[in-house]
Amino acid sequence: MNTFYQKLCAAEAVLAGTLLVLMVALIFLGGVSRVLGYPLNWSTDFATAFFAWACFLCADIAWRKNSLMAIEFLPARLPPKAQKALRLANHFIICVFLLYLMVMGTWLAWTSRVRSFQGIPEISYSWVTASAVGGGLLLLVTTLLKIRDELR
Amino acid sequence: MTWVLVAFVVLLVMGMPVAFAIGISGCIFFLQHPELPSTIPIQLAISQTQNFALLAIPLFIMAGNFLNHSGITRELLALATVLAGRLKGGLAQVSVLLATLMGGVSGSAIADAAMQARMIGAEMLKRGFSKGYAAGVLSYGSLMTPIVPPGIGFILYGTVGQVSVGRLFAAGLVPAFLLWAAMALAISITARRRNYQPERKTRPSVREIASATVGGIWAILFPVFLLVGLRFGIFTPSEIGAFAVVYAVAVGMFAYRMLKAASLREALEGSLVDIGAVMLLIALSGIFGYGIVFERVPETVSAALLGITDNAELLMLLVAVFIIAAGCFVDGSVLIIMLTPIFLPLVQTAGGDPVHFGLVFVVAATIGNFTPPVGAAMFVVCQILRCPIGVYARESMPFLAAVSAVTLLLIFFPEIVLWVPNLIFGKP
Repeated sequence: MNTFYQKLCAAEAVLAGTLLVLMVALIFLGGVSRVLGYPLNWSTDFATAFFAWACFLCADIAWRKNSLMAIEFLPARLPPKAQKALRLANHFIICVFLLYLMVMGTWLAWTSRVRSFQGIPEISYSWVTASAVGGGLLLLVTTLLKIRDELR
Repeated sequence: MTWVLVAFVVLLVMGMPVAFAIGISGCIFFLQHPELPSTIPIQLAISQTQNFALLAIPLFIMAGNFLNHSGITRELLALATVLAGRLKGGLAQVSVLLATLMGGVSGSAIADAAMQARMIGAEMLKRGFSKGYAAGVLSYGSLMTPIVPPGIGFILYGTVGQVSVGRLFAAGLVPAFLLWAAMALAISITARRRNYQPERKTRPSVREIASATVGGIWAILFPVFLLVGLRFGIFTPSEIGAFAVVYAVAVGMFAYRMLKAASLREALEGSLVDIGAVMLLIALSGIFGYGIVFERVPETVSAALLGITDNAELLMLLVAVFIIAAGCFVDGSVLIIMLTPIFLPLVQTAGGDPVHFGLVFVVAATIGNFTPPVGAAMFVVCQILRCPIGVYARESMPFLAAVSAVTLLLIFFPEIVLWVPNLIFGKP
């Protein structure tokens, strides 16, 4: 299980990095080709679609590394036991929120499956909406693991 | 909306990451309004990531990380030492000049403060600077970094408030110079009393200055390229961001030859974390923003404040004081996302200029990063230097006074701010 999870994290980072690099390339190409008089109407659509996924993947990486900004001014003054209880409460609330994000995200992806991109009519917009579901799931796993570490 | 705000504050105090606190409290609004489809919060969060203008933020973060790994920082430190080393207060003067020069590379005060604290913090203590003073210089000095173009604060404000990012970038030039001058003056005066020695005894020769300038030329030229590209309207800010990434990689690989496969990877990995932290915040703040507009909060706040005064400058002063105070508790980028839609229409109603207000807003929001009890830049610097917050708060007073004086100047003399953007882009 542990090695599987480590592989998943590595894959997540590689995918996020690749999406970001592709995003740079697409926007760069889009800008250059427009100036040259050959605007690419699909480059922006692909770039923003990649970005939705990159955002959620990066958010999960940042959450796992505890790099999300928080105000720890008051909790830091509490006794260790109270701090732990507070952290558990936070993680629990976050889990509920992420479940909501996933359920509603799935519903939205399903109901909006016929909507497509402006510049790429062949591709369904649900690919973008699904980023909230995929990202929500990864964030949920990270949060559950944090709860497990807390309870150990 | 009251319950949303209460929940937001409670979650923040509980130590929940700000991004989740914004998203979750924002959802409470939808619980109170069951007539609204419950898929809206998801749509709001996703639509933030589909905003082409906001793509500039991850791109500039990547460009900054690549430039940081390109060896440019070392060249800029050498240049700052040559130019400012002879002033009273030595390394402190070098540090604030470096922060100003770094502004063309990095767009975030917190990142610059952390980098400088690691790079020259220990060296400052060795030269006999007291801990609180050194921490004050390192943290307040980073104020110039987001004000010199490109700055993430301006991109956020410009996107949220529909204001030209090019003009905002241009508006930062003169204020950044004034802020640097005020910091340099404050250091000069206090260093004389504390007897902090200059870093070098001899006047630098023209040849030395020239060679150090050539060393840092790629970082100095970057904001110029940026403004030229935006001025001629050839490219949008997001496209310029993509060019910035390509530029950073090219400079690192071919000009300084420091960017190898390993450092490229390291810079990209660092970017993943930085982008994740900022973008989750931006995405989830979309949920929060819906209720603010729905319940006409901007109109209510406007009506209340316009009852006090309808003078644009006085209103800006009130808003700036409020932002600095709020900035003591909440990060600057959060304030820009949440408060721009509330305060910008107010200032415009009173006849204020959106570019002028944007500059004042970003300066004030950044100052909030340096003030206790929870300024993020202050926190990072004090942690690295192991400086107690109380000592920092006392010894950094002269710097707070210096930057506040410049902020007042900027509020009451809009021409200082608007001169360069009007010169480059023409009068609006």
